[in-house]
Amino acid sequence: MGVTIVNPTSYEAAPRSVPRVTVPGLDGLTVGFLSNSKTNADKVLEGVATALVGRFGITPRLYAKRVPSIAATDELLDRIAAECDAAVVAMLDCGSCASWAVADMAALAARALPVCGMVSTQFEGFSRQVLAIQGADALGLSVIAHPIGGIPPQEAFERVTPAAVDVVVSALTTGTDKESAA
Amino acid sequence: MSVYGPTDLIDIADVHDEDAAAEQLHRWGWTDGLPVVVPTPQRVERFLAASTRDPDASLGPIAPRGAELTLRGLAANAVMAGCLPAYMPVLEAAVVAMRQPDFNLYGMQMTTHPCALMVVVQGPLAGESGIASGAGCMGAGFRANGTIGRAVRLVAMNIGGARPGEGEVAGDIDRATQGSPAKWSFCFAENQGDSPWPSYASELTWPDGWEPTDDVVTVAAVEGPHNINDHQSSTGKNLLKTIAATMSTPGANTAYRGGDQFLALGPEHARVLADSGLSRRDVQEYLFENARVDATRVGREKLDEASLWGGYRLKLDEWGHRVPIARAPEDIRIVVAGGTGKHSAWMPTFGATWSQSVRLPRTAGGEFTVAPLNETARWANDLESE
Repeated sequence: MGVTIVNPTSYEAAPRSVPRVTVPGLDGLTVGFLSNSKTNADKVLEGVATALVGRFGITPRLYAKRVPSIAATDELLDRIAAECDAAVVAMLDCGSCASWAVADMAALAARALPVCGMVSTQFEGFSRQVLAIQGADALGLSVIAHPIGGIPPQEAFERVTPAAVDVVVSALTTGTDKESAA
Repeated sequence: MSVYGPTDLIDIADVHDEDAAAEQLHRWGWTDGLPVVVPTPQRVERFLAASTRDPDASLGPIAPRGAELTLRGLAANAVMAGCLPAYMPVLEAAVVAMRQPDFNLYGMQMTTHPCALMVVVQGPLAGESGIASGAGCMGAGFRANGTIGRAVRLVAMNIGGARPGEGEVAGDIDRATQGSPAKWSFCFAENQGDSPWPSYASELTWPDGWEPTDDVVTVAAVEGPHNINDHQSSTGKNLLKTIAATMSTPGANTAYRGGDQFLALGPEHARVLADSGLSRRDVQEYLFENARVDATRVGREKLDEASLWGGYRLKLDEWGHRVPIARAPEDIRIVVAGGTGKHSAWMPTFGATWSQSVRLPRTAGGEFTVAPLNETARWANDLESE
């Protein structure tokens, strides 16, 4: 015999509903950089932007939301989608800020914008779980060394290695099928 | 017995008694670590019978996982927590509160901050349910307080899907760096009988007014209580100095000036203030003006970020480098709770959240009513594109 219980949990999983959007290449495009105002998020984005300007001649546009622990407004997200061809979001390096940055990523992707998130090592697994909750696990994350807050700004800038930039480029230009094949 | 759907019941086939079933619940990670009561259908039925709604009712998705909470799921977690069936209406109201968008359950469940789900109950039901409001009401010793707060936490974990951890194992997405004992349970009732002021709930801006028979449940994402000890002050002015100084701390998220925080005055402290002619609003205004963080004692990096998030980078000079801990006096919420003694408690907010007060249905079959937020919750917070 067993013991029958009423299920105190739920097994429901969010449907995968936010596909990855890509562009064929970044040459000459306008790329939006959305900072959530975490310390050094702007420096990380500057590191990515500097590399993408050098490699592809992109035009960077910087955006920010003031409070990282809530969603970016629809107005801001609409504006980024209207003004940019792709977007990079930073910084995913704490719990509430990363969870809402992931939600912002999903919201940008739902606006048909290629998007990549900048995540610190200690929050990669977490952010991938939250992406799955958002139905957005197809979106890309570029991982850089934790922590990002509490270090000199120049060091945060330098943590954006060429390899990390490669991941950003791939997330914005390569579909998940080709990326997994590679 | 009500009709169960295909995923409502689980047969734990390889156990022979409830002790073993409870151990299985621990192994599955469905508990808070403390012993639980096994949620058998017979027990759950008793809780469903005491609820305000139909057993098949959906209470909506619970963040962050977004899984649907059914009344049965709520009842099962209430059984596990050790609740009595009579607590169900309070739990239903707490769920309504947690699900309000401005509560930001999604963010507060996954933050590194140690915020708990504080449940404050007001009205006749608090007394009828045995929810303590007097001596020791925030601590151990009271079944209703302990198990109601615990049931809310179990819902957050089991339906919301956030268990503590580093994010590397499925479901361990409550990223609290250290957490807090208040995350086990944090529930108490307002001590209206010993309060010199109108009840907290009566001063909210209910669209259809407030009645003394109203039962109201408030849920807030706040830290556990910080003690405020003042055995000496005989005047409101002196006592407020102690309270304001205690609340002027840079390490709390109040330095970001978002959300609403709670001050639970012990009845003796409340009496000192009232005897000095101070109303609740007077106290709020004093604390807003005087409970300020001395920015000159905060490191540059911390201040840069706090002032950016709080939107006061350009205000520091005007404020004389004394940073308010709220956007407005009304965001310093004040209740009276506790028993004899010269202690009060301050519960700083998580920040990116607004507490929610929910009135239970006034008549059978009626609706839960959510109190309007303070106007401050609507202030814009986005920077311009640079």
